[in-house]
Amino acid sequence: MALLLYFVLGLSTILAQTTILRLDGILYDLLIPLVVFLSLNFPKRKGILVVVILGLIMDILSGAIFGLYLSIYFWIFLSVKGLSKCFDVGDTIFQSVLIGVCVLGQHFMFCAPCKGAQLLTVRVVPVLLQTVFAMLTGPGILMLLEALHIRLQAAIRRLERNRGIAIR
Amino acid sequence: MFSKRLVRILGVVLFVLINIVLLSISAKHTHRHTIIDRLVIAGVAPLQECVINTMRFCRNIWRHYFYLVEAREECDRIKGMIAKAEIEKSRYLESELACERLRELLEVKSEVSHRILPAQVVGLDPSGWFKTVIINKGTKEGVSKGMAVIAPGGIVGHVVGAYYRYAKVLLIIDRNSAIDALVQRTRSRGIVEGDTSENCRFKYIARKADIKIGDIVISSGLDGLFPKGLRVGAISEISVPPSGLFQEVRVRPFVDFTRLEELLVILE
Repeated sequence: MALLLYFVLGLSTILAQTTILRLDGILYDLLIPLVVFLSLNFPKRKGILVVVILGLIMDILSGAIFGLYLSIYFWIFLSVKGLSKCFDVGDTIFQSVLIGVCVLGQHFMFCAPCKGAQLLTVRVVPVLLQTVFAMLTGPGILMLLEALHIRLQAAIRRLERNRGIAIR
Repeated sequence: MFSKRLVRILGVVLFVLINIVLLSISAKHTHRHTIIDRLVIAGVAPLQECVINTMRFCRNIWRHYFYLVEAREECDRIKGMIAKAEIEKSRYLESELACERLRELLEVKSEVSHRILPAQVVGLDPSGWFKTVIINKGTKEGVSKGMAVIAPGGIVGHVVGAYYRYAKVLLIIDRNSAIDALVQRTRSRGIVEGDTSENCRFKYIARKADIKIGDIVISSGLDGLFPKGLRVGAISEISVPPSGLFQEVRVRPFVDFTRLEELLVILE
């Protein structure tokens, strides 16, 4: 149920990013903090399902090579999962750097298929701006998601308890 | 000698006469300013003034309070009317702009001899790196992969994915897009390719080719995607490298890709 909510949240983000928000300026891909959050808070099997579906949707809507978004989110999910075993992922500075690196990595993946002269046209300033903005806002988004997660867990537990009483 | 009753009557008549005489005398000296008058006025008038002012103040508060309430209501009503009028105005303006755009589309439609299908942009590319849009016409309306998409300004791109009710259009400014094009004035041929900016590169233009800034670039029709003669853009930058066979040319598309709303899909 919780995963469904995060899927809806991701879908809403995609809708916003493909209609009202333009990711040309300072705004970065807001699904990245969500993927990081899912990686930190859900078991591999469950979390990856949502991540893959969101990646697929992004791939379908985007003009990118099919599977590029899917791969990016997939690897972010797995990398964060791996890092969470070695580092204190609750640290704000660590989260900030983590999201910044993810955004930078995503841009790197996007410009990777560029050929020779095309690489010269890669706009460095927006990429750097987005990375800095992601580093500044990413931990905040993660905090919001975590607060939502705690409330959601409590609500689910309450619901389950009530259901148990009703069955008895 | 006189009865008491007669004495009373005479007394009254006498008082009346005295009164009349005194009034007659007083009538000759009107607006006297005696000390008594002044004292009385000095003592009473301030009190009167105070009372009158208090009354007036209270009355004013009362009247103005209700007046303000009424004024406030009136103001709210007028504000509502203005807001409605603004919405109405905006709607008319939007209709006017839509009419203008549709008129331009109709003009294009009459200019292009092919069967054309109008469509609207419903979604943009989620990344800033790729340039695609989603339109609200798909296979249901006859749209299929590879069809050219144009706007009043010129070529927009071509369909790269057709679904039942929607289609994905690759814009000419995307780095994966390429159009066989020629310079309208000199017929120099080349390939217009997109890059990550809002401009395109015009590749394979020979060093000796006669081109200048402002020259219009049109589709050659040789790529099998776009009909011949559709406007692509104008040459905005030319540089001739010291070595190499070709010039480096940039083309500014006629279509404003940041404001794409209505498009035309060339069905044939």
